[in-house]
Parts: sequence; C-alpha cells; structure tokens
Amino acid sequence: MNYRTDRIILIIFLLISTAVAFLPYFVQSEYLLRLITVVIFWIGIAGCWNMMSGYTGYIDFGPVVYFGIGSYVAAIAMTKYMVPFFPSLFLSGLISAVIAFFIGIPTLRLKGAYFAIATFAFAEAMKQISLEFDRTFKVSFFQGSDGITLPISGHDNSFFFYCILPVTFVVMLTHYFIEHSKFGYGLKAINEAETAAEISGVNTTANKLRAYATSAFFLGLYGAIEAYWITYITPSDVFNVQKTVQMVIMTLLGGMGTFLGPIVGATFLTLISESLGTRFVEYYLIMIGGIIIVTILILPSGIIGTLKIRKRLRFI
Amino acid sequence: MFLKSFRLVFVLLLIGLLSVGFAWGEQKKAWKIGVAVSLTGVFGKDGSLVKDAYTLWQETVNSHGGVNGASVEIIFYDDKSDPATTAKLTEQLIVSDKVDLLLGGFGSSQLFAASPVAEKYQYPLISGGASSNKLFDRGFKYYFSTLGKATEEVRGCVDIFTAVNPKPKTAAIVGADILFTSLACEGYKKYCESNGIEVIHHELFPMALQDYNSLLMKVKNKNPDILLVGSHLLVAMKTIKAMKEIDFNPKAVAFSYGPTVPKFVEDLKGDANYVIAASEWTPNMPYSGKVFGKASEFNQLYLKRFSRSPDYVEAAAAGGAVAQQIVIEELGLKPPLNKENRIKIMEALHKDKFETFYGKIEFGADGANEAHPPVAVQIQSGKLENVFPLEFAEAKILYPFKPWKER
Repeated sequence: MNYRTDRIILIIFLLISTAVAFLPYFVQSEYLLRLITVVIFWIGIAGCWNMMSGYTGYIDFGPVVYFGIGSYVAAIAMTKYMVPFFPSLFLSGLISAVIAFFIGIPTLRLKGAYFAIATFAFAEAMKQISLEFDRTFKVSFFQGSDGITLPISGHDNSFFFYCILPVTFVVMLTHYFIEHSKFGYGLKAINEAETAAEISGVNTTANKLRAYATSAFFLGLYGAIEAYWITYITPSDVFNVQKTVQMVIMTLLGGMGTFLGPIVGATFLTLISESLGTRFVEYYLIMIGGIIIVTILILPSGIIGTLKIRKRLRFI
Repeated sequence: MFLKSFRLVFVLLLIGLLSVGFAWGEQKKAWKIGVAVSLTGVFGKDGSLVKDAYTLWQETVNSHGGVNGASVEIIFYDDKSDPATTAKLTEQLIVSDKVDLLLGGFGSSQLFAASPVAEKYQYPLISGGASSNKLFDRGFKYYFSTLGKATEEVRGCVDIFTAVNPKPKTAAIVGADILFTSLACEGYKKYCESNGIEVIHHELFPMALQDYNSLLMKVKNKNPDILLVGSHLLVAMKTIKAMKEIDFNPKAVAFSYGPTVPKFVEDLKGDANYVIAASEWTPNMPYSGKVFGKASEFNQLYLKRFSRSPDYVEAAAAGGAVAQQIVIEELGLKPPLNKENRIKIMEALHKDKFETFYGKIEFGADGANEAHPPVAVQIQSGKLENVFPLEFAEAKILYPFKPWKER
C-alpha cells in the first residue's frame, strides 16, 4: 500500500514538474512568472535545508553561508576571470560543496546546540572574511562592503525560471532518493538514535557529510543564480541570516524530514506574504507571524509532517 | 400628462446618472505611482521616512488639483530591506499594478536591485535615498538620484575644519561595513588627505555590532583630534552613547547620516549637542520652487502633517517627485502613460534643470545630481544649525567639542 502511494506521489510530482516546465509558454505576465520562479527558488532552498537538517535532525543555522559562497564564486568568476555564466554556476556549486566537505569534518562531530552554534558562527565568519579580506591583504577580490556588480544579463524572467526549475527538480528527486535508499535510512537512523545507528554499522559521519555537502552544492547553485539575477551582491545581503531563518521556517511549516514539506511550506509562506504584503503593507508581518504560530499550534509537525503522522504514511 | 412627466424625470435621471458615471470615470484616471520601499528590516525606519515624504507630496499635489488635472495615487510595497524582494515588487508594480511611474525607495542595495528592472521596462526611477557611487557606473539611462554621490556627501564634514582654529591634525575614521557607510568613510579619507589631516585609525565594523565601547576604546587610545563616522541612524546613536560611557572626548565628531533624523535629538537630548553631520539640505537653505514653495515652507508643511521637521533624505525624495512632476507638466502628459511618454520623461530629466525647495536638481549623464553642494550641520542647543558651506551658514561651528564631564 505504502509503496504504491510512493509511486503515485512520484508520478504526480513528475507530471506537475513537466507541466510547470511549460508555464513560460502560457504565462504572459513577467511578474507572475517571476513570482512562480521565486516560489520554485524557495522550494529548492528549503529543500536543501531539509535534506540535511530535516532528515538527520542536525539543526544547521548557517546554510546561508553556501548560498553566499555560491554568489561570490559566480560573481568573481564572471567579473574577474570573464568566465561565462553556466561554467561559473557549476563552479559555484562545486566550491560550495568542497568547502562544506572540509567544514563538515569537524563540525558534524558536534551535536545539538553545539552544531547549530558552529554552523551559525561559520556563516558569520564568512561574512566577515568577505568584508575584511581585501582590506587586510590589500587586494581587490571580494570588494568588501562595496559589493560586486555582475554583468547585466539582459535575460528575461523565463531564463532564470529555466535555471532554477531544473535545480529544484533535482533537489526534490534527491529527497526521493533519500527516502528510498540505504543512505536515507542511515540519515533517518541518525535522527532517531545516532549511537544505536553507529553500533548497527551505519557510517554516521560519512552519511552526514554526504548530506551536508550535497545540500551545500545546491545552495551554491542558488546563490549563483540569484547573484546573476539581481546583478549586485554585498556580504550583508548574500550572507544574511534572514535567508537561513526563512528556509528553516518554510521547512518547519511544511514538515521536517518529509518529501512534500519544503514544497508546501515554501509555497504557502511565499504566496501568503505576497498576498498579504501587497494588501496590508503596515500589518502583514504581524498577520504572517500569527498564521505561523496558529499553524504550528494546530499542526505541530508541520502541515505535511502532521498529515504523515495522522494518516500513518511512510513517504510524502 | 403624467406619462410625459414621468418620461422627463426618467430622461433627466438617466442624464444625471450618466454624467455621474462619466465624472467618476474621469476621476478614476489618477496617476498611479509605485514605490517599493523598506518599511521593515534593517532599513525599516529610514524607508518609513521616505514613505512620509512621498505621502506629503501626494497630499500636497492632490490638494492643488493634482498633476495636469489628475490626482496622484501612490502604491507602497514593503521590500523587507531585501534586495531580491525589491526587484520582485518593482516588477509587480510595473507589470501587475500597471503603474504610470515609479519613485525610488531607500538603500543602495535595494536600488541596485530595482534599477535594472526599471531599466528593462524603461521606467524612470528617481531615488532620494541611495547615493553609492557604483549605482551610477552601470550606464543606466533611467536611474536618477537627487542625492550626490556617497563619497562627496561627507565633503562638508571635513572641509568645515578648514574654518576652525586650531585646525585638527589627526582623524580617526570608523564606519559600519555596508555600502553607503563604507563609501562615506572613503570620502572622509579622501577629503582628510586633501585637507592635510592625517588618518591615524581606519576601521569598518559590522552593522549589527553591539559593543561599541570596545571599538571606541581602541580609537580613544590613539587620541585622534577628530572622529569621523560612516553611519546610519542607529550607528550614530550607539556611537554617541558609547563615547559618553567611556568618556571619549575628541575635538569634534561627525557622522555621515543619522543626526539629521529628528529621533537623534529626541532620544539623546543634551548628549546630541556639538555633533556634526553631513547633509544635503536644511530648511533654512535659500531654495524655492514649484509645489512646496520655499525650503522653510516645506518644513512647515512637514511640521503640520507629521509634527516633526524633515530629514534631508526626505527632502531629497520629495525633491525627486517634484522634478518628475515638473517634467510631466511641461510635457502636458495625462495618465495612463505609455512607453513613448516615459522615454520622453527620461530624456527631459536628463536635459532639464529644476529649481525646487530642495535646491537645484541637475542630473548628469550617469543620473547623479550634479548641482547640489554638500552641507554640514551641527546640533547646537538641541537644534540643527547649518554650519557649512560658510556662505549659507546660520551659525558658527562650536569647536572644540565640550567634554562629557563638563556638560
């Protein structure tokens, strides 16, 4: 029964993704297309956080660091070394993943609040490094708080839509893979009882490291795409802790460690802020705060998380 | 007979209803102006000031019959101090709300994100709340700023020391590590060098810094003659509080932004005295023009509407709205505007010179206002007094700074 449900959900997901891919041909409004792109962007970003923290239970408070690294790698590659966008994009993901690998080795040995603090500190440290590096070493690399102006792409929103959609699609497929692989069971086992998992032969450190670096790879890609889209980056903007908060809240609202959680949480929060923000400019943040509190009180494991528990579903 | 009278009444009623309908239809053709501005987040406070300025402009214009007979309606959206949101909202205003024109919000990062969108759709975007030099280096035709470039804005704060005796020999420069304030620090450094003042300490710190005492203790130990701070409102307030706590008494302290916001004096009271600040406008400047009349009259309107005086950023924002209005009136345009109309507005903004309550506005090829002299003000007995340029000065600079323990 459960395996059939899994397959049905996967087929629905694939069908919806295919349909979404054709949206730029039907959506005439550039604004609407931007809004849809922003929703898909946040689904992916929240998915990256869920991939690591949702499944392992290791609360990462610094994922924005890989988003920021991705932004800076793309910006430096494009402006300083004249590398075209797509190779820069790949480089962003790669460098983010490599840095995550080396940062993960010591930090993923920490547990609970210590891990959260370490990741948060790393994100803040990277912000400071990008701010101070040039002044300290008398070079022009990160360009400190002056920021970097990227080349104006001249592309319309459909270009960025087609950059973001495949990345988000792969992020979500990775979730499916996590849900249906030994690697995924390993991650869930870490969440349930890490010591027991270790005794049972799960290489917990390697599993966490794989999840952490994979998540960083995708975050790097998103950072690069946003930098090219906005055309200007500063350390304060791309390493902004608000981005971390947003991806955590989206995942919590949708349901941590679930396949549909980031999709539902990111769509719900983005659309609700869009709808209320334009109608109630003065009060919308209070309203959104209220909605989040009520949702979490009624559905403590998030929208999908609670549904999963109540309906005893294995995978959604 | 009865039927005839009934028909007459019916016809009259129909005419009446139609004319009301037409009048309503006419009235509905208002100017729709879109503003994506930070009302929450780091720049929430500063963005709210810009919103007030545009609101006053809207109310004043509407009370005088609107622009070319059409009233003004402004749509404000909150970008949460997030550049990506600014870009999205700017596109929403243009594409979804179909606004006729845009006005700029607050913050260089925000305007960096909004301006490519405005450029793409060929919407002129005049801002009064961003002045980072890089904004003008991109070859955009549709971006304009009523403020001068950030490095130039602080010139008055350094040049003023040529008029004091004894002239300071050393300076310490500190500033928040965000674009505008770091550029202000660059400007301080440039003008210190040109005025023969040696910079003995130069440090940028995180915008979210809490412990200002340690930072300023380092500076105090170097004993500079003057302290120059690249600041926003909160940075300026925290700096003054920390200076008092550690009893740091340089001969003068100057800020790039903050002390001109009324809250600075309201909160710090007597501690705000002697503080020097960069400005681009004060109500006593001898400027006048359409819509608001004299600078002092703009101040009076502000006092009446918001029970406070405007800051120079608010004046710059309203000045930009007035410049755009003058162009629309000269071109005789009426809403709704099309692409050709907006191209004409952009061309006229580049070509024309505007005399306004905010002073002369003359946009260069890069969109920066080239006609505005930097001003320095000092808080004296709780009031902002214009102390530089000397020809417009309403008071002589109080120098040196009175030590905290003697106040």
